[in-house]
Amino acid sequence: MRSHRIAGHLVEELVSANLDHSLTPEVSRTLEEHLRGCLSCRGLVARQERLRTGLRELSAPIASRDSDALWVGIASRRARPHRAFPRGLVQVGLAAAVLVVAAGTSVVLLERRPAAAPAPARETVSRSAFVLPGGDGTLTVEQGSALARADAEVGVGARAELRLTQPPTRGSAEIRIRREGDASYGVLGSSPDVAGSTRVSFGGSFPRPEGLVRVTYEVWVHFESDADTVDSAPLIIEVTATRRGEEARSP
Amino acid sequence: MRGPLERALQRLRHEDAALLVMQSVVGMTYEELAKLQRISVGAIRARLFRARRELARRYEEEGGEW
Repeated sequence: MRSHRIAGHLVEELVSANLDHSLTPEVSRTLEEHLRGCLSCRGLVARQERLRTGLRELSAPIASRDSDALWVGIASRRARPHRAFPRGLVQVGLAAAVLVVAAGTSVVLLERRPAAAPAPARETVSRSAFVLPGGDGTLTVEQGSALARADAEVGVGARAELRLTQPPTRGSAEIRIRREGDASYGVLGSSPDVAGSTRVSFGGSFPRPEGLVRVTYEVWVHFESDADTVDSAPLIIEVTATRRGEEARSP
Repeated sequence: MRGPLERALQRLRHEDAALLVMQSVVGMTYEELAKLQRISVGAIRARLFRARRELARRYEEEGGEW
């Protein structure tokens, strides 16, 4: 009986997908049959599960170098499964994760809120992830607001855009930027009223610098809910930033 | 496990590291990741598979034990 035999490379991909419960029941059963007779593939499952557990346990900032690709990602969402949380219990489930992935230098930060945080007076969903082209980044999630801040070197033509998708109920967003030495932030763009699942997008070019200049970005998002419960609709914030102006760097 | 895993994660392409974190830690579904990155669910599955294989390889290179 060899019907459950699967090619080695395919097993790896199926094991990965099965870990995420994304296989159809039939394929999952076929995989299980294969695993019962294959010690080596059971070892593969065990290793992948261990890596996944290890990733979840990482909570300290992780610095990552290298990468030319520009990727984006602010992603924030409540832990699954999708369901409503009663008032007072929301905070327990909150886990903020921030991804700062950048061109040039990239940083990946994982940040978890303490499980024992006191229950807020008004429940608010707060999740954010954040991407910028280069530099260091931090994320602060307060009751009802998220502030992502990062430093980066940018040049002529650099640009940032923020898109806010599926806020829990309503909120506002703002991107601010400050050049090194400036006393205050200039507002790059803002959206004072974001409601429902509105997607908002705005962007703007950075002021022309003399060569690359270090700037501090801030992305500030505020959102709130009047409901006794808040659902698990994810708040997704994407910041796209292009890093231009390398040609302007002084020799 | 933490030290070798952190180092292995740092050595991954950052988009692969981000994908792994967003799926495994943040808990985003394949569908959400596909929408976010504007690629197909099948492509997300394949990328996650390759990212995990690469992470395992680098974890071992960093002295990680199973």
